[in-house]
Amino acid sequence: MAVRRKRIEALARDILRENNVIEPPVPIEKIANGKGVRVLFQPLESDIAGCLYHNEQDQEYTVIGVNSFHDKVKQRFAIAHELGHLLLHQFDPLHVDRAVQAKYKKDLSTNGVNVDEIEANLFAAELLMPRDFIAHDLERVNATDILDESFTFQLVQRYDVNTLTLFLHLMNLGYIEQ
Amino acid sequence: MVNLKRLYTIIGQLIRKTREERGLTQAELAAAVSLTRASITNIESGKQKLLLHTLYDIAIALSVEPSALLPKLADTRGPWESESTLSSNLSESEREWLHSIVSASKRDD
Repeated sequence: MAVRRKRIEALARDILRENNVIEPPVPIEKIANGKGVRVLFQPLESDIAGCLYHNEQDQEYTVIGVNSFHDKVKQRFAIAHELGHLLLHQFDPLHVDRAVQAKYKKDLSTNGVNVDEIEANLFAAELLMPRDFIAHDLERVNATDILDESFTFQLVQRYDVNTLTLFLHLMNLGYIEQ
Repeated sequence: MVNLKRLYTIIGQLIRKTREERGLTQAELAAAVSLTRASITNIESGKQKLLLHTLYDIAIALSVEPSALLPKLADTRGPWESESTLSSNLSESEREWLHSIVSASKRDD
């Protein structure tokens, strides 16, 4: 199964439009609430970043659990990632995600589970760092200045994401060479 | 942990199905096991937690082994416990954390 890039881009764009988001930072918790999701913040000393619980049969709320022991920017990404699973994937009632770093160690090519994870990450990146907003912010910036530390810091602050996530997304969008 | 609601709902469904196959009414089954018809209704809908010996009495009345009225273990677990990727490598504290998230999904909070 291939990663559905176009569908994910369109989905993120539609959600931003529905929520009238015209500038960063994207109000991710509010967006999740708008999809009928309860977002719960609970601290835990663990690399679990978040989870999604979705059980229509028992008439329960859909819940995104966020590990509030992690940095705030990671929590935001976790909400977006779990929202991606909810909107894109068929899951067992409960899905648990460990931190992104742990996932990269695994073989990314062999099974469908990892395609789901890649898709959820892509969705989260598109939602938190909308390509149109990024294009606008980088419009008048020289290619060499994109990697400038203070500029990167500004972007990280502006989008409320972590540096690694920002770099991966800029690479995906072709602003930085791989 | 077994999910009680799930467990008794499935037992009730198995009893109802078997009773209907035997061509018995709820009242007839009730009389055979010395319960009220309302109790049979509640047992079949999973609302009443029947006693073990009642299950045996019902099995006698329906001419089946009690095991025929018992759900499979896998069907009695809560949703997250049946998730294969979880069962293996979650620590105790991680399980607790997940439990607290899942329990927050109940609508009657």
